[in-house]
Amino acid sequence: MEDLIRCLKSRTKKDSKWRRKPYLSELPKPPVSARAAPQPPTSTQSQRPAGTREAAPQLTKVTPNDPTVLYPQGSRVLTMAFYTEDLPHLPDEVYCALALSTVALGDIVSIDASKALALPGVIAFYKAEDIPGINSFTPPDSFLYSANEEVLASGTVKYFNQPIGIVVAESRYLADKAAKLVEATYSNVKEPVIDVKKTVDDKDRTTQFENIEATETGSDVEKVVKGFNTVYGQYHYTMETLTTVVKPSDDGLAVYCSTQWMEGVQLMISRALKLQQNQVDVHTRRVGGGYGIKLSRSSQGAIAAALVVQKLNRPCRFIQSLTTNTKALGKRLPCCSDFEAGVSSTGVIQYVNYKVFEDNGYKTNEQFTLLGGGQFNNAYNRARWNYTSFDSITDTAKNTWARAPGTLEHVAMSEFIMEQIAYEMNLDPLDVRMANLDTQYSKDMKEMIDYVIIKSDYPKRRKAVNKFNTENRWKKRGLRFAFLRWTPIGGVNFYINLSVYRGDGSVVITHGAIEMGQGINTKAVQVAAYMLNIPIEKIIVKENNTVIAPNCSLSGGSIMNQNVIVGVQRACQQLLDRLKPVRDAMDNPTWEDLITKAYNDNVDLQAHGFTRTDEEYPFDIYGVTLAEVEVDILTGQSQILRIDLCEDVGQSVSPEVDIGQVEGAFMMGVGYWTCENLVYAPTGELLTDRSWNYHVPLARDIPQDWRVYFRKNSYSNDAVFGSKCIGEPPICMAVVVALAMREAITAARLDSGIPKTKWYPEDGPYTVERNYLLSSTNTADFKFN
Amino acid sequence: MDQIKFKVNGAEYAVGCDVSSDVTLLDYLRDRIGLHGTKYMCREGGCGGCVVSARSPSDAPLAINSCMKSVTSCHGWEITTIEGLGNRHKGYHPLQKTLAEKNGSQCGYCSPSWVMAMNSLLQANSDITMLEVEKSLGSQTCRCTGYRPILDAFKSFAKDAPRQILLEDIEDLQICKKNGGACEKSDCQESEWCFVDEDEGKEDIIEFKLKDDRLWVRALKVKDIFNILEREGDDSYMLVCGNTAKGVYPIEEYARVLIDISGVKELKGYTLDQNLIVKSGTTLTEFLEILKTVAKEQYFGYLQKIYEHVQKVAHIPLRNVASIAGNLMIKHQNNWFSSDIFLLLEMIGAQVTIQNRLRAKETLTMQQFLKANMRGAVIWNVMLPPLSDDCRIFTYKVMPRSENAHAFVNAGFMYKLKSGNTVTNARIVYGALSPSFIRADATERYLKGKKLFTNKTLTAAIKILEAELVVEDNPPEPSVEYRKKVALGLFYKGLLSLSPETNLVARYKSGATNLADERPVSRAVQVFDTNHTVWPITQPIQKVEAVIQCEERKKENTFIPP
Repeated sequence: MEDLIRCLKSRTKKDSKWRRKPYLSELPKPPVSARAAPQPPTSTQSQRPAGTREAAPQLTKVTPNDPTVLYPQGSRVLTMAFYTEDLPHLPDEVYCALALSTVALGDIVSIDASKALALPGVIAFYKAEDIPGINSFTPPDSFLYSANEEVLASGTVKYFNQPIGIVVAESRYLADKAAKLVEATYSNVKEPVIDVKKTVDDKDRTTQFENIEATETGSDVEKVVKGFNTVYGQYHYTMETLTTVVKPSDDGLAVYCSTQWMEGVQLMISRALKLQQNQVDVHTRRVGGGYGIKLSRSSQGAIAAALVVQKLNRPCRFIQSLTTNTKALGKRLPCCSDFEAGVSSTGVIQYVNYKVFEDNGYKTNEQFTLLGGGQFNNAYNRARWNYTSFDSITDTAKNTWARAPGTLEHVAMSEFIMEQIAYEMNLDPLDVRMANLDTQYSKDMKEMIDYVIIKSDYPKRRKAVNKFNTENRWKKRGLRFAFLRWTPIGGVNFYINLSVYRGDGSVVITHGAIEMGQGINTKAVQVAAYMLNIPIEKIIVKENNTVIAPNCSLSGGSIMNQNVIVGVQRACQQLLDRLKPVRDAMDNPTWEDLITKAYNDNVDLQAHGFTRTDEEYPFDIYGVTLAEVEVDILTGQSQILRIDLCEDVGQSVSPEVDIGQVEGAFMMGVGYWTCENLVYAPTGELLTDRSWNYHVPLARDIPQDWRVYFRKNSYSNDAVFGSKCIGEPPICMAVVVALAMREAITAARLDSGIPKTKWYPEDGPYTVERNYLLSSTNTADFKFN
Repeated sequence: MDQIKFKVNGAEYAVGCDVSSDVTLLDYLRDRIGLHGTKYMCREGGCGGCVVSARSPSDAPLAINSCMKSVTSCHGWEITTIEGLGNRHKGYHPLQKTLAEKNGSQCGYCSPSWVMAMNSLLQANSDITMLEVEKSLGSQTCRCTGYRPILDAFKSFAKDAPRQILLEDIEDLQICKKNGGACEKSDCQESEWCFVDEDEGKEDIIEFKLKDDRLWVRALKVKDIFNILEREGDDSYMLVCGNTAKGVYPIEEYARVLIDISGVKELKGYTLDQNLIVKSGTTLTEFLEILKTVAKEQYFGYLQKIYEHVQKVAHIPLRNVASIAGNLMIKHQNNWFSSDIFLLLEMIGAQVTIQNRLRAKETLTMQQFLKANMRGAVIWNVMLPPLSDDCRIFTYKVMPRSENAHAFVNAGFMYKLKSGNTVTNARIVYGALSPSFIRADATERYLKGKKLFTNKTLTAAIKILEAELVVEDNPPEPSVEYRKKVALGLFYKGLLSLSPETNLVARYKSGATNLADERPVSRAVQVFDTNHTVWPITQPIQKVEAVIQCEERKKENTFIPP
């Protein structure tokens, strides 16, 4: 034990030295010269020597005392952590709120805002007819979009709590209060269809999106397994709700918006208000959590606020309340799948006929279903998969991007199929998965599976869980694997600008992607520091706006990380190319001297990088996760005892940042599969609309023992420094918690006389309620002895 | 015109007729004095984004939800926000540094509130274990990190941390003993920060009209409350203490007369005669302290169980301001409210003392209280009876997650046993089943005279209980089927827990426990490569904006974007 402590201590020491003086002593100081290429290892096996860090985190780092050393970004402190709502109140500012429909389906006969307007301090009320231009907040002419979505319902209402008007008042409380006093009358009011399951057999509500046929079929069919699975929505629960502040500017409007897509806001404001695009400047410094809700939904509120400013010529602040965010906006896509699989005696799938229905809400617009087309078979044999996807329509808010949209559902559905085969045929679920791996992925997957089996001590723990379940009637455990293969698609437009100041050689970057916690600015700084061979303290990433970063794509999908890395690299290279002749004429100059000389030589010290939508860096991301849970059969409550999660992130450009992405995404997934339960009334009204009744995981809900491993010696592509996408894949593996819960529940059912081979549907999260009811406990079994 | 006074980060503020009834401390901090470091999201005490440290005249700094507290109820308080804790001029607080360094800040929006919650915790008790740290942060939500790095950062301040960050580090920073923040002044005068205490002796009722025409009165005595109601009428009034009820049932419109009773000393504290008499204005945090203390007294050992259950009520910042009376009044006004406090008091047969302004004090059972006309009345206290050692207690709260949630179903069981474990009296109480179902009377009657821990008694009791439970639909709460079944499950669980272990088959024993209660301190490992030859690519650095996200700007440096 002492040895272990000593070992950890020495490692800690070393670690701290790295942190303190990375540029001074630990590394041989390279001459200040261009690093033209990122110097990736040529062989991924050989060149990954030092630095593997493996220790309990609380032991690995120390707190250095000198703050200037501790904070490599000390200069960054001169700026401030600014979020949209922190914009100081402006003189004459007004507030707005959205009035919402109180039926799900109906034609608007009239809207009466007189009660709202009668409140002292309420200034104005606007409805769809007041929008001078196009009443839409989504651009059908953008990548991944196909339609307009109304800012305010005109004519008909499509879901309960759809925005029908904008109330303007002197205070936020007043605006929120007055919005509830707006009354509308409707005709042709109809019962809504809320559940995606009800759309499956309704031709009017489903449209086939894609059919991918199997390329081979096996003939060794021992058993035919049929299943129907459904998953439901998830509210994003950003800590900063959707927020916009708009003020009149010299040329039109200055818009401060908490958005993941500035161009979308700018474009749709310009269309709605009939302004030229160049009259609308959108600024976003950072957002307080995104997870997809701020990709397109932000534009709706931004247009509302901009309309108010145009009408009143006063600044307008629009902070959407939590209940407006939950009730009026779409969420993660519910989805159901229907499958039939012919399976051999060892669980090898001979064929699968598989249909999937993605619940778009009231309209198809954002192309989620497209994202499933490459993902449906997960890591399993694609050749035998007959895949058909459908877009479904329900009478709910149009659903929207939510961390791993399209892919999360498909991964989960494929894992359910593996589990059902294992249960119904009484096979080991790990064996079933292994037997069905696609040859394209099997080498990578097997390496990682073996790693997790060893790291997790799986065989021993498997036996221990079996023993526990035999020896305990009212507590049950589950130990399950989930596999992941995840392939990103597409690229994005980013405009990267890099400027060097001649006085001291300090550097600013703007890159057009939105910092929402995912660490994109950190990666940009690391890449620039590497390329320019200067300390990271010299570099700052500045606020984004549509002046310096026009036409930028949305910061969605994990792919944006790659594009920023590439774009910053390009800008740096352009600068380095210009500096080369100057440097060659000097004798190993310092960066500062080089810049001074270049300035005096009339060298352009602002460089530019651009990334294209059609550039892709093809790679697959792999993951293997093992979960152990315990369920209290007498209450349905549960705890996650341990998680072993191994993900292939390539060569991580910023390991601490990427670890954060993996852990955060996984917990968001844990919430999705356990305690986050959306409940609708038959009217279509969302009842779980606030923190009192919508429950996200908290600190004591995380795994009791949580081990995250990045795959060793992984490397993707020089262009992105060997890295892979990170933000979305880990949430897809959180289904493992649901699978482990199912094992625990199945063990309880066995004690109630229900055989393990009987599959049972579980639609939605494994809440305490579902866990209890599915356990099928008979009170006659309540005994002492 | 009267005003109330309080301090924020050492600076004095006064409010009165310039604010409306709906202005919270949060609004005041952000909108009036431009301290934007305190964030918010839900505005109902659920997400924790708005937590600040607050110190009332007599206490150590406490975490509170600034979104709940009416700014006019802050009289005499000293508030510390993230701006007052540490910044680049005076040096960062170790909590800020550590949270940033351990990558406990991603989008950064929740970071200041975590720091303030943890700061308050350490100020109240720096002698804290890692497990206690983990158990004390249920008030906070983070959607980005998955909590692990935040817990790692804060656990390093615990006494059993492998490398504890010692409190000396904090003292080096010249922490102001008054407000718990980094000291801003080099010439701090005792008298300067003692204004509150000085005023204390000569306090007067403070009364003023709010901007929205409501009357705000800070009462000092119960008779003040009655006088105000006499003068103003009782058609539209509200007694304000922690103002946390709005987290349960949102308040759309405040009453015409708002009486702040948080300064009424008659309603604070406890006395112990035959009963434990706890004054109604006692906060739940103070109640916990009382329970812990009095549990050492003869016939009050059972309070330990009550103590454990009250720790499951909401979370620390809310318990710091929510009062017993406030909790009971929510239950009184809306019987659906699954009040843990009501449940516990009913289980032990506690009584409540109320007084209507026109009448003498009355003592009511908990159930009588629910039906009592409380218009114009004040709750004086609750009386917890002594219970002999042959009383056995089991309570349970089923929550949708490990902490900080209202009960899906809660239950309390009290069995008085005589030799041979024969029941002489039983009280079986349930919450959240229906607005009216409180006690399982038939089951209680059946159990009298029965040997409690036999299969025969159990089976028969379950049947009776199943028949008498009244469970009503209450969406979005869980289904009737679940709540009914889990109520039966809890009855059984309680008996498993109370039964002599020798009476139990081994397979059933683990049914007695609560998984969340048994949860140990969490642990985590992260394994990754780093390639020195390409640093800073692959270098594990903290996020570049992490520090400023844990800091916040000072008002004088207000940043106005172009």
